[in-house]
Amino acid sequence: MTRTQLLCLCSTALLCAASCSQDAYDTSRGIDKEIRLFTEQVSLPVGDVGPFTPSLLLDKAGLGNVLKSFVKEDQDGFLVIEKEGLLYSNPVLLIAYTIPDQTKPVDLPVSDQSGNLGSDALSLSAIGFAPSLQAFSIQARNPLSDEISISGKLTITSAPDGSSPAETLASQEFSKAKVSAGNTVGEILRVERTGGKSFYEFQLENLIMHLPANLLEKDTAGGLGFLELGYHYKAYISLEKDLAESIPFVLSDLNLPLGQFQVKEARICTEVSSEIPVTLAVESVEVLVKQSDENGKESVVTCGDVSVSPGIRIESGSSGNPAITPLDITIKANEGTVPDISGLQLSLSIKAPTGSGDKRLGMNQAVYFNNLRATVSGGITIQGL
Amino acid sequence: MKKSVLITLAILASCAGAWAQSIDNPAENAFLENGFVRIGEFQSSSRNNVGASAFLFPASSGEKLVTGLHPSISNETFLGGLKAVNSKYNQINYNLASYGWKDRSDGFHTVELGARANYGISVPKEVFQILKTGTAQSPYDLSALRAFGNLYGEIAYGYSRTLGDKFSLGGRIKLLAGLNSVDISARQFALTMNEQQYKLDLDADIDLTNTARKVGTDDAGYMDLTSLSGKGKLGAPSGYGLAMDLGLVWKPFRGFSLSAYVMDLGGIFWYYGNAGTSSGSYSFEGLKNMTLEELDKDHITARVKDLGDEVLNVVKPRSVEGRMLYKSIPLSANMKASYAMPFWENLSVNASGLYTGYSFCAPYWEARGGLSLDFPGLLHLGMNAGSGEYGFVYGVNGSLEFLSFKVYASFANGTGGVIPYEGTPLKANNKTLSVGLIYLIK
Repeated sequence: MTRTQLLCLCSTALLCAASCSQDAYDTSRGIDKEIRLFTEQVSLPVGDVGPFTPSLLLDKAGLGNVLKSFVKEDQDGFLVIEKEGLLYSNPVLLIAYTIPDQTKPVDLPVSDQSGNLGSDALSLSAIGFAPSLQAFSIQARNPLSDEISISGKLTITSAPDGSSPAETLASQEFSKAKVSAGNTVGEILRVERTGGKSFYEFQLENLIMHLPANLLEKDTAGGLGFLELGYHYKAYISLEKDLAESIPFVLSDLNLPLGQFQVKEARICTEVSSEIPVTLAVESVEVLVKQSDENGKESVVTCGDVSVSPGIRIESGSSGNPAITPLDITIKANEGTVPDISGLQLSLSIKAPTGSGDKRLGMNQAVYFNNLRATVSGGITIQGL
Repeated sequence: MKKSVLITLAILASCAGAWAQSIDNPAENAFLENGFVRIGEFQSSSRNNVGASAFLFPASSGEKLVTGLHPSISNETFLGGLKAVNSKYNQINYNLASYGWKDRSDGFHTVELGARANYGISVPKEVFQILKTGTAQSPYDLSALRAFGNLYGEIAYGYSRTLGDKFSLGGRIKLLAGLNSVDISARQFALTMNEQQYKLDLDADIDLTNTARKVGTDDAGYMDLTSLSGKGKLGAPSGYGLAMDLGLVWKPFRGFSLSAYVMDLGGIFWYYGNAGTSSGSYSFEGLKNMTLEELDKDHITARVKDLGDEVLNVVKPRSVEGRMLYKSIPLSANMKASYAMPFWENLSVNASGLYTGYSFCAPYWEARGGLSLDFPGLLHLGMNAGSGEYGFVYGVNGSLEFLSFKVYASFANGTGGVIPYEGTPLKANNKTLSVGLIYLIK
């Protein structure tokens, strides 16, 4: 080989290398624009959702209107049965005329008093509710310029239950309980009971009013002031028994177009903060998908290919002391990928709270889904980006 | 002339042209017997430390191509082909005219007028890692994300002279006139992405010279890149600088020469009249206080839009006072050696080395060996091959001389192939093309 031939060979080899194009990379054949992002996992903070209130729960359970006919909300939002009444009322002038010697202090006997607190609490027990805390108080009004006192005995009984007689739930004597001057209502006795049977009847016996001397002169209304005795009853309501029926809870029209993204598994985590003193259990979650029959008619059916696990249980809390329940829910396609989701169908159970905590049910209590976060594993596919 | 030689010449001329002499080393001129006038030299360099094959893949079906984000491409295949910082850099040098003359004391003077442009972009691997694999590797440092472009003119005066008959020294001093410049860079660009929060910490600058137009500022004080005012003064400098070239040539014995030089040692003080800073932190911990009633598309869309506005408030550059910044120009260091064969002095063996680095762009080096044929007054042909930062490299160069005119060209490239009909390199590559015309004063 001559020198010139060698030079020719080297030059040609180099120039071939320079102009070498790779047919495998010929873009004129087109580029497939399907992409799958986040193939390992992508996590996203979703946020906080709430409040989920008892009224929503009760309405879903069909108990909202029933409860409203028996109970009311107090100023703090608690559901209560409340009753009050006047037991004794007499003007000072009339009392003074019955006292032989008005210049001396006198112990004035008053006839026994009784009352019925009604059957609202009993009626509630039929639908699973009961008083969790009952408070009964005797109150008095003193129109005089001097303090007076009252003695007597209070007995509270339950309602007879079939063949069982009424049970004494509270019996308390009080001696010279003071009633302040100034024509304001003052509480002279208070009885509280947590749990147990409902108060039904009460009776005041051996009532004596300890009155000062010169009664009329100490009535700033000139004898037209009234000495009064009354009662006040308040029962806070709680769920006593698990509600027998599961509540169907359908989230329709979600229309989540997940099918196109070919998601295989999504995980949702949250910390549920619940003040509501009931335990919420989601017994099952079914995914609803749209399906067309051969005539093109569309219907919504449950999708068996997608599972939601595990069971969801939100522990009971109380006002100001919420229970925090971590939840970890996985939505997984058993085969293939998660389809377009039309909605979700939940079966929700409401269970009575356990333990000795505050079980009062209030409309200001709430469930919050805090720190909701989602993680999608296996990637998200997008066609034709 | 034999047919094979003619074919070789034709191939070289069509692909690469010819190369006359080293015009980079100012000390080379000292050996010229007479002056010259050079007109319209053009040199283009493009450098990418990853190629198209890192982003495009032949589908297994053999039909369409797929991107690195396609499900059929594994994480290792896609991400394994990327660099920590993936950059693309281009540089264009245009010498409008040069004039060189020799004085009576054997000193050689040159005056040159030219324009230069360079631009580039770099993208850290983390950007593609997030897209491909997700957020499992959080946090991410994206501060290597950058884009820039510079256009400047230079007026150079060069002087070289021989020291004895074996040695020459030369230098050029260049007055640089900055015409336009844009630079988008981040001192901090940290991204945390996990299920607890998405957090962005950004401290970045955008700098635009305002020779031509003035970028507006909106009511909130942000730069409004859609609002430009002023008719501009195209060509009016917005920066000034100085640079120098230094070189030497050593010819210790007949047939051998060693040339070493450093180019573009210096920089420009740019005045960026349109300056902005994006600075701040933004943390997203989910949509807060969302009620059950708000769990519908309209409410969520509105909330997300609000979030987008909050992020924009961090990302959008806020107008700041114009600032003067010094930016170096692309520096290169070169060494070349040539030895003419004693048995045929028209044939030489050559060796050369190059190192260049420019700001954040990946430093580049290469070393080559080659052969060249010189027929003084007629033609020069050369070819070389070697290894560089990105693997095998080769080059051809040559010149044709007719009367006092000489046309010259050179072409250097790497291997790995290109995308058909487009020419985009498939692998990391450094490609340089240079052409020019010189009139030799005899």
